[in-house]
Amino acid sequence: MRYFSVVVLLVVSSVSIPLMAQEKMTMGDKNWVALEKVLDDVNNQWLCAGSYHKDKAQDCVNFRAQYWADQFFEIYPSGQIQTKAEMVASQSANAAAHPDSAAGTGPNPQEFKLMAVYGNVALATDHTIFKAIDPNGKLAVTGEARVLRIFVRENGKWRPASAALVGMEKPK
Amino acid sequence: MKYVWVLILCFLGGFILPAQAQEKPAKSTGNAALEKELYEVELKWMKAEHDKKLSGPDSMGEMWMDEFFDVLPGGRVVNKQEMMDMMNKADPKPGTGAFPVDFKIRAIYGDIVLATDHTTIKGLDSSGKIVPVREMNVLRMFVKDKGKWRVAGAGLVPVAAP
Repeated sequence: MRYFSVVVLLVVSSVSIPLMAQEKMTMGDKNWVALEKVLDDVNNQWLCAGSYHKDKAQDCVNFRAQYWADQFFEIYPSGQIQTKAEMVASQSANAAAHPDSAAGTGPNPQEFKLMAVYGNVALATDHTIFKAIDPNGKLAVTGEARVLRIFVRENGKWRPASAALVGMEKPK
Repeated sequence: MKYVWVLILCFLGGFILPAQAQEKPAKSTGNAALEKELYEVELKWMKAEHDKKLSGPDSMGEMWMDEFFDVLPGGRVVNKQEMMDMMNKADPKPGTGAFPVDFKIRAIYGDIVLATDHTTIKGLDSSGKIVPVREMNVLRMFVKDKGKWRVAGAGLVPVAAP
C-alpha cells in the first residue's frame, strides 16, 4: 500500500510540475504582454540590435551560433533557405570581408508582436528595417521585411528557432 | 528519512519525464513518416483554400488553429478570419491555386513542427491558359492539437527570379 502511494505521488508530480511551468495566457493578458516583452528582448539580442550592438561583426556571428537553437533555419527575402550551420558559415565569411560594424547598421526590428504561443514555442512577427552606411557616410535604409519569427523555450530559456523574411511592398 | 527520499523521487519525476518528452526525434524513418503525414495535411489545407471550404471536415475552419496567421507576399499579416474571407472572395478556376512540392521538415519541438516547401501559384494568362504566376518558398507551422495535426500558419517568401 505504501509503495502504491509513492507511485501515485510520482505520477501526479510528473504531470503537475510541467503543467504549472506552462502558465495559461491569452492574447493581451498580463502574462502575454510579459512574454511579448521578453521575446522582444530575445529578438534584439538575436539581431545584435540596439543596446546589443557589437562593433565587430564576427562577435555577433559567434553570439548567434550559441544563441540559436540547434534546429534553427531561416528563409531569406530572396527565398533562399539556410540551416544554422550554413548561416554561421556565410555570416562568418561576410564578417571576414567586413569586420567592423557601425552602430545602427544591419537589421533594426520594430513593431514586435506576439501572435501565438503553443507550449514551449512562440510565434511572432516584426517589421525589420535593414540599414547600411551610404557613400556619404550616412545611415541609409537598404531593405525592409515583415518577419515571421519563431522562438523555442529550452531548459527554461527562450531562444530563436527560425525566421522567414518577407520583403515588404512599398505603400502605393 | 524515508519520506525525504519519496519527495526527492517525486521532484525528479517532475523534471525527468517532461525533459524526455522534449527530446529530439530520431531522424530518417521517423521523420519520413511524419513528413508524409504533414504533407497530406498540407495538400488538404491547399484544397480547402481552393474549394473555399470554410467549415466541416478538412475545412479551413477545422484545420486551422484559432491563432492561425499568414505572412503574405508583400508583408501583410492576416489572421484566420481575414484569410478565410480572402479565400472566400476569390474566384479560383479549375487547375489554378497553390501547388506545394519539396515539403521538408526542418524542426520538431514536441507537438510543433516547422517545415518548408516550394509552392507554385498557378493562374490564368490573358488567353485563359494555366500558367505559373508566382514561385515561393514557404515556412509552414503545424501543431498537434488533441491528437490531430492542425495548421498554425505560414510565412510566404517569393523566390527572386534568377
